[in-house]
Amino acid sequence: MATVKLTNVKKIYGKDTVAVKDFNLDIADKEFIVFVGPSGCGKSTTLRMIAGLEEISEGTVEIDGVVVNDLQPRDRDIAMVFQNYALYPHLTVFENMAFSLRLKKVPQEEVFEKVTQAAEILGITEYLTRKPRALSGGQRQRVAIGRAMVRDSKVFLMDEPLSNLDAKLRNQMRAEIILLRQKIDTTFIYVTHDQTEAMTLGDRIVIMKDGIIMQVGTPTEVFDMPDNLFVAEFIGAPKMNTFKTNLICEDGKYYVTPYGAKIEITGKKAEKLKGKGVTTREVLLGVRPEHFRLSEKGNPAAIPCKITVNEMMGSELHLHVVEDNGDKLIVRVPTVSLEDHEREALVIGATIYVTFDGKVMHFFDSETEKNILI
Amino acid sequence: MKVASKIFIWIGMIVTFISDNIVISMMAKILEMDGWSLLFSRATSLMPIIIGVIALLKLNTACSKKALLPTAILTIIFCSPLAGIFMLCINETELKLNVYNKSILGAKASRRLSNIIVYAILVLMTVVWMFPFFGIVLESFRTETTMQVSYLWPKEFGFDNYIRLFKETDFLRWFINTGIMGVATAVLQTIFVLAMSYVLSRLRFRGRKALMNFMLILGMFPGFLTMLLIYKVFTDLGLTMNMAPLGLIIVYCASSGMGYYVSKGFFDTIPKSLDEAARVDGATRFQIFYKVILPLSKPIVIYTVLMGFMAPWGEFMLSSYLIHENSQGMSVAVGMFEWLSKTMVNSNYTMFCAAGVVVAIPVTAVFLLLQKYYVEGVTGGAVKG
Amino acid sequence: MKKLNDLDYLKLNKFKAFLYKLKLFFCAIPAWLKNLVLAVVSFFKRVLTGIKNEFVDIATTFSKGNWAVKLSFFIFGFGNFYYGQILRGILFLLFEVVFVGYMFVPSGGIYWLSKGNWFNKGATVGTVQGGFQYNELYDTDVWVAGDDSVKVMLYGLLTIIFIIAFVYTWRLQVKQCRICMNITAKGKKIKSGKDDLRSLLDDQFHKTLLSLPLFGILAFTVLPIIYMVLVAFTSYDAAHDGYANLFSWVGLENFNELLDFGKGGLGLAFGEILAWTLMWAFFATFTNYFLGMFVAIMINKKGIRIKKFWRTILVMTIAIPQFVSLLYVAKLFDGSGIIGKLLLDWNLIPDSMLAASQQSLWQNPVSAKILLIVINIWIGIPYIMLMATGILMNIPQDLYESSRIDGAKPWQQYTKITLPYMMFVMGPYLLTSFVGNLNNFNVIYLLTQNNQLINTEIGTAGGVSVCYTDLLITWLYKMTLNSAESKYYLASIIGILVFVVVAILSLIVYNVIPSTRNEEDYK
Repeated sequence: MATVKLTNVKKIYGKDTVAVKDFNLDIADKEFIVFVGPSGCGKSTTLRMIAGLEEISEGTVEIDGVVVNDLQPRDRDIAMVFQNYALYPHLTVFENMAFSLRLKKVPQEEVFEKVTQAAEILGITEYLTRKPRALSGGQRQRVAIGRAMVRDSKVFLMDEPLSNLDAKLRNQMRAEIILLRQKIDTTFIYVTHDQTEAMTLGDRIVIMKDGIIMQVGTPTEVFDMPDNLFVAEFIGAPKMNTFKTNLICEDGKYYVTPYGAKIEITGKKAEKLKGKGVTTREVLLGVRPEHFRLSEKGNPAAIPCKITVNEMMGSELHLHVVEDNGDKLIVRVPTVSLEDHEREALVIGATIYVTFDGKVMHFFDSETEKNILI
Repeated sequence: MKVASKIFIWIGMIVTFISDNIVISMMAKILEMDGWSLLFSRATSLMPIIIGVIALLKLNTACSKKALLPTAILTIIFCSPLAGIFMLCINETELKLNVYNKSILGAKASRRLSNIIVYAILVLMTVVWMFPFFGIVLESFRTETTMQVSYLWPKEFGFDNYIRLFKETDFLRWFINTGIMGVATAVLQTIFVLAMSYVLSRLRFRGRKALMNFMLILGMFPGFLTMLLIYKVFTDLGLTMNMAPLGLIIVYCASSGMGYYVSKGFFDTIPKSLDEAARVDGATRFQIFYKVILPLSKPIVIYTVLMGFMAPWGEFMLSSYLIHENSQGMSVAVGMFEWLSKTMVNSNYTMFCAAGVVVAIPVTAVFLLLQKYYVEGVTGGAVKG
Repeated sequence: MKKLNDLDYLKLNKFKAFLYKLKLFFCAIPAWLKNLVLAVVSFFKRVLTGIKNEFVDIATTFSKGNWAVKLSFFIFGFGNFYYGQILRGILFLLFEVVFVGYMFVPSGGIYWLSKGNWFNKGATVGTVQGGFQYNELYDTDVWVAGDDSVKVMLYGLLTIIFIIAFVYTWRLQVKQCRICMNITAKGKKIKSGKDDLRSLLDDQFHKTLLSLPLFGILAFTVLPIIYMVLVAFTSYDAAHDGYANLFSWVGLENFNELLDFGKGGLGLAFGEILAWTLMWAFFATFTNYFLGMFVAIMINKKGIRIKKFWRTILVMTIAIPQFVSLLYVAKLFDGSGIIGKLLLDWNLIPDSMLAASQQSLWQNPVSAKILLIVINIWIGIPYIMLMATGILMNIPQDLYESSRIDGAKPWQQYTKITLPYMMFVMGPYLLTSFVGNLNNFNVIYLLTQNNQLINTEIGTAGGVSVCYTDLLITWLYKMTLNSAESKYYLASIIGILVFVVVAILSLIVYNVIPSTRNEEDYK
């Protein structure tokens, strides 16, 4: 069993620099948890506190029910993969992976077995006698993972392991980590600033900002039901479009009126609004770029806008448009859905009309930035 | 930890320490123990203090049990029976902490302990390192006698030594000599060394590797060997005795190009792309050296100047040879050395210390001012080179 | 001998792996020897072909060259003048004139060469011995100077060097002439004097910068060393100082004198002094190294405050001129010094070490040697600490963190991460430090000179009394100090031997330490 529980964990540097404020989280056994957030949000600090590399200012960390605040890292039964790999430059790959075993005086046959096993899983068997300087970035990363694997520890910590790799390699390694997870049955705690990694890898995601947890949930939860504006804008690429508009309650039906258009709210959202007894008010409306559709001029639900940038992504177009009042939006249009002449009409400066479905909106309070439906 | 246990440990430490020392003193008289065995016995009486401290810092005694038993036995044998028994008692006292018992010390405690030890060592080192200078300064003010004594604090203070220094000896002359040598060496040596290092670091030409190997091999000869011939030639040229400083400057600087390692190491760290950009911009090699590299090399230039300046103040071997006991041409090192010879030491010891202080002041002042560059030179150039 | 593939090799435990490597090493020796022999042979082959090519080149230059080239064989610079390189032409011509003038002038080159009786075993250097002769004017014996051996050898050496330079310059200007001819044949322009001067600041800048330093090195290091090597084969000592008495060539006899291992013989003295020198260098270097590193790590530790203060205290000792501190500290440990007296009072000096008459740590060989090493630690730690601090800061922190998680205790972190890294970076410095300590005059001389502890077993060797704590270099120094017994030729030989020791050591070390073998490991 390898549950991890953080209760009221705080990290304070010096007298008043608070890096992590009141972190509370329960991680189940064999769960893959991802800490994600912008730089400086405290995710690495929290990870390091779990590892024992930083002192915990307040609160407790428990691994498997045992409070580990006072324990040395080596006594916590954890393994860690570092962003810069931290491979010992003067040792071969084999020796790097065998390092922890050698410290425990494990006999040679066992060492050989464990290391070659891990090497096979990671596909680095042919590099076992090389030194780190003779390996590429991806190979080094695998060795770092292998070194952690060999330890058979309860908790596997990873601190932005893919940040130093190029884009293509990153995608590849992401898939490999998912495969890896199926082979090693442990609790994973993964830190990254890339929301794509968080979404694809995590069982649950912890989104942090400025040392505070913004939301904890499965990828689907944080994508479909963001707790607040920050989460909504952080998850999903390109960023969700948000703009101020009025939410109108008329005859039991709800409408929003962005930029002169009138769009009815339908489905579950409407029910929830009704259930909460929401009345006419100002909201921050959030609509994801993929939920916009091209429309025609006469449609009362259509919003007129002008194209400023047209990014050709291959299977879709990302149109950056601007409203009359200066607001900028991004609209995703699948290229397959367009006829040739339609696509040619989407040039810079052209005026187009877009609309969106009444089912797929998010409403946030303009001041608290919280989702009003939660 | 229970309060009772704590009190027990404190009392135990103090009581056993005092009683053991009494026992040891008595035994010393009876057995007529001398220096080393006495010291050893007294050391063992410290054992209970150490064990008590470890216990108070929350060590896990289960692990120290292995070390505890034999140490206890040893202590009992060497005349501290109470201490030994005390240690065995601690073993039985309940001192376990409610955590995983894998390491002897928890994270915080172990760091605290090691920090305390480190601070203790550092303080000790500071005392040891600074003591001689402290001593020299004190000695220089001692006026009750001019010979060396075995107590530290002077009984009478005064400036006598300094006055004697300047009035009765040629010290001032020596000081000026050495100062001139220092400045001249600083300038000339820097030019030679920097020229050599820059060429070897940046420029590529046929025979570069051969030149470096050649100088490496040349450096394996004891430098002193060259003095014989140079002495003869200089004597003929009149560059010895009272003209020795000039001769010495030439000797110091002429072959100084061989000491290029540190500077070269530093130059190597400046990216070659700067050179390339300058060449594209149309600069000649000379202009690159003068306008691009040199301004970036302030630390190493100052380091080399500093080294050049400081060299003559402490150089004894070559200077004694050329000066040949001529008082007018002496450097401070040679002159002061004379005072400590068996015949003169008893009347000159304190004056020597005064001279030491006078010599140390300018050199140390310059060094401390430029300390930052010295450190950068050593850590940057020497390490990489 | 079967070579294991990678995976099988990894299966072996440490002991078996070691045996395997040992077997590999021995099996490789024949091949290595063969390669060595081949390399030497090919080296000589290359030298011979090089020389042959030079001669062939000269011959073809003469035969194929135009009349300007042929003339430049005799008149320096003629070719340069012909092709418009006035500046170079003038310089070359000047050189030839000066050389010819020097050689044939009455007290010039040929004169000195003839006086030397070069390498003629038994013959004196210089042909005319000075002596007292009756002078009528003053009615007493007056010293009439003869040849001065020193001068003869020196000027002879200079002349030989001059001749070599002459040959080289001759070759150079002939070649240049030929090159000019080729260039004009192709129709290109030849560099003018102005171009030459400008290139001195550009692609020939290295020549400009190197000229003065190299000249200094050649004149003040190379020349004296060659001279001293020659002296090793003469009988130059205080009695035959070349002026009052000429010295003569003795060939290898001096080396025989060195190999005399009987009592009072030089071989014995040399052996003992060499042994102590090596031991001293070893201990001095390594104690400083490890302790300095230890101090650097201590100060650098997380949680230690005012790091700068601790470092500055230690660095201050570098600032104070060494001889002041050394002389003072030497006195401190004397019987009447502060520390010396303290140790005596506290009975901390074992009886065996107290000499009967003098109560001082310096009077016993063993304690004196230990004291030397201890004081040297005091002097040397700040330097090493500085360097080590610089290196320490370069070691990536996450290596340590990773090892902490893997279960390494501080001691293990030290041996498996810090130490290998340090050894790698400071390896070459250790060697230079070792060599420096071999010749560490200051520390030994200043600390012991006023407490001479004469080695009674050896007594006097080489004309001076030898102390227990003498290094080769201090012995050398005493030998040449113009005492009535100074034997300069001995000093030469010992100098040469020191060189041999250092050269062998350096060769071995450079080929063994990983710093030079695996240069890329830490990049």
